[in-house]
Order: sequence, then C-alpha cells, then structure tokens
Amino acid sequence: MSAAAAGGSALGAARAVFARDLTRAWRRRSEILQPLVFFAITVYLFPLAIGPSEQTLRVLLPSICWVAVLLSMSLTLPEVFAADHADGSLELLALSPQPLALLALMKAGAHWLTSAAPLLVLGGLLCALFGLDAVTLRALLLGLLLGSPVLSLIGALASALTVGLRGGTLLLALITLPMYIPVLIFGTSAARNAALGLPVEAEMFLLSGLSVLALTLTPWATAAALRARLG
Amino acid sequence: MRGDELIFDGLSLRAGPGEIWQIVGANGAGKTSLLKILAGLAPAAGGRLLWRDQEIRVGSEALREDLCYLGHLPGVTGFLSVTENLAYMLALGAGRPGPGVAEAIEAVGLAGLADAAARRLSAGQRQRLALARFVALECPLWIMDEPLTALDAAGRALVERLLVGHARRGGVAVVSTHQPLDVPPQHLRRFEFGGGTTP
Repeated sequence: MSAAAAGGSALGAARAVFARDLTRAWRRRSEILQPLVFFAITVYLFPLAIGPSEQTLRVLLPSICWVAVLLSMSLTLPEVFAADHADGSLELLALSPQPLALLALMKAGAHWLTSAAPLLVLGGLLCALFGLDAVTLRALLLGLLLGSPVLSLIGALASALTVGLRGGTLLLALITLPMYIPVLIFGTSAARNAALGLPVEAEMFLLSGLSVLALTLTPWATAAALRARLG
Repeated sequence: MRGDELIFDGLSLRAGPGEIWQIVGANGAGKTSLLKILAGLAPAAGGRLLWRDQEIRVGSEALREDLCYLGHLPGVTGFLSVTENLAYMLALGAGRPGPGVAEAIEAVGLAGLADAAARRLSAGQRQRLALARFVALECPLWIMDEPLTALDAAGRALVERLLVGHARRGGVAVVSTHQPLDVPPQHLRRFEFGGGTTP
C-alpha cells in the first residue's frame, strides 16, 4: 500500500472531522442556541397570529413545527462549509488522501446532530406544552427523526455548492427549501393522519426511503461540488 | 485560465527528487493558479500533469496520497487549540507520521503555545502552525504558496531549513515566493513567469 495507509486511516480522518465539528458546536454554544430560539419564536408567533382558538392551533401545530424546523435548519447550513473555506481548512479536507465523500458525510452528520437533534427535543416539548395529543406528537417526532437527515444531507450539498459565494446564505435557502418540499409533504401528512387516527406507516417508509436515498447520493455530490468550488 | 482570460500557456517543468522549485513572477502572473493546478485543486484548461508517470486530474488520489499543500490561508481552525489543530491536520493529512505532535510544535517555535486557542495566534504564528504539518508528516511532494508571508526572519530561516531537509531526504518542493530563498544552489531551481527556467 501507499504511504497514506501508514499515515492516517479513512476512519481516523472521519472521526477527526466529526469530532471537530462537535467541538465547534460545544465551544460556540451560542451558534447552537440561536436557531433553537428562532425556532421557538417562530412557533410561538403562530398562536398570536391565528388567534385563541385552541382547536385550530392543535390542527396546525404539526405543520407549523415542520416549517419552523426547515427554516431553523437552513439558518445553520452555511456553517457546514463556509467557516472552513474562510480559514483555508477546506483545502486540507479536499486534498486529504481519504475519500472526500466520507468526510462530507461526517460534516452532514455533525450538522444533523447539532441542529436537528436539539430541534427535535425542543419541538417535542413545545408541542406537548401546546397540548398536542400523544399519538400525533409521536407521529410528528418520528417523522422529524426519519426526515431530518435529508435536510442535513441536502443542506450540506447546497452549502458546498455555494461555498465562497457572496450572499451565499440567502442563495442557500433558495436552493434548499424547494428541495425540502417532499420531506415536508410526507412529514406533515403523517402527523395529519395520526391526528385523524389513520395509519402513518406509508409516510414513515417514504421518509426513510428519502433519507436512504439522500444518504447514498448526496455525499458524492457534495464532494464533487466542493472540488468544483475550490478549483 | 482565469474566467475567459488566458493567464499562462506553453509552460513546462519537470521536478525531480531533491529539487526545490521556486516559482517567481509578478503579482497576478498566475503563481497561485499554477500551484492550484499542480496540487490537483483546479483544472488546467489544457496540457498534461504527471506525477510518478501517472496522469493527474482534479482530485486524483495518486497525488493526494503524496502531497502536503500550503495555500494562501494557513488552514488553522480558530476554536481549536494549537495541539488540536495539528492533530486534526495530521488525521486528514497524507504521508507517514514523522516526529510527534509536540516535537513538531516545538520545531516551529510554538512550544509555549501548545494549549493556546488558535484564534489568539498572530498571522505569523498561524503560518508556523501550518508549517508544523510539514514537520510532522513525511510527504514526498510539498507545494507551498507564499510560505514566507507574515513570517519574521527566524520564520523565514525555519522555512528554508525545512525545505533543505526535505530536499536532502529526496523530496520535491514547489514554492512560490517573491523573496530570495537561501538554500544551497544544488537543490534550488527557479521558474520565472515570462522568463523561463534557470538552473
């Protein structure tokens, strides 16, 4: 084998990339908190706008939650690659002998763990506070759990596509939000079905399918996008 | 090519073991573009690039396994400490591990700052930290874009010492810089944009 095999392993590099992004999240906790606060405020705005009808609110709450998750997650997407591009460490990533697709997958995974996972917890708490019934809440959370990896994976791809562009943040939202539509449709329809006492398996399978599809395709696309942007 | 504009063409050079190629040229002549093409970061509009008799395209694995590259930016992460930064670079880097992390940090003169947050480092100290990667990993091919930027006299001497050591081990280095490099002439090759090569 070549010299690289003796130096670092693909697994070691993957672990290093993952650990580094988690460390960033831990050392810059405010960056994690801001999207959470944004999420809570967005969700809280709807009762004010809709009015005091608890019935309407309970019907709309899962959909509100889903849209707020999409918006909050797109807020943190530029961070996936933009900071690394600014300090030059993105070139290290691209020139590493380890497969770039694997490293890009780790970046997306770290993004999911630091943005989607806290939102799931907070979303569940808020919906419970608003009096969402247990069956709907379970369908909402399970849908978010199965669908949110797609959001991070597509988000990482879009983040790679826009890395180093001026006005990248807005462009990123314009690219990602339309691509989030299938996840949004199946996620909200699962919650609606659960509220009506209908089965939700079909939606859950579709969401899992979308996640697996994104998991298998986006890392390579992200790697190719990074190489194109760095060139 | 930069956009639609031709920056350079008709360029040919061949680097062998123990050679330090200094790329000289006016600002905007295309030194960085050339180095990015050599590193497999950017595509060339035409021509061929070979490494170990193998044709190289953007992202070629054969090149990435042998390459240590230092770009315009040192690639130092602000929220990590000096030691953590180097450990991260090594986990990603190519080449055989040479001396340990602590030795490499000492070799580039950052011994007292091993646990300091990298965002507190000055530009020159960041550059030194980026150079520590070249100490800690043994790569056959070094590509450095303006490595002397922000470095003091001792830092410049450090770069020259590293380059000579690398050349003596039979390594290849391609370095762009405006400043004269004080390395033994048997290792030094110069490539001037618009001027051709001088042995």
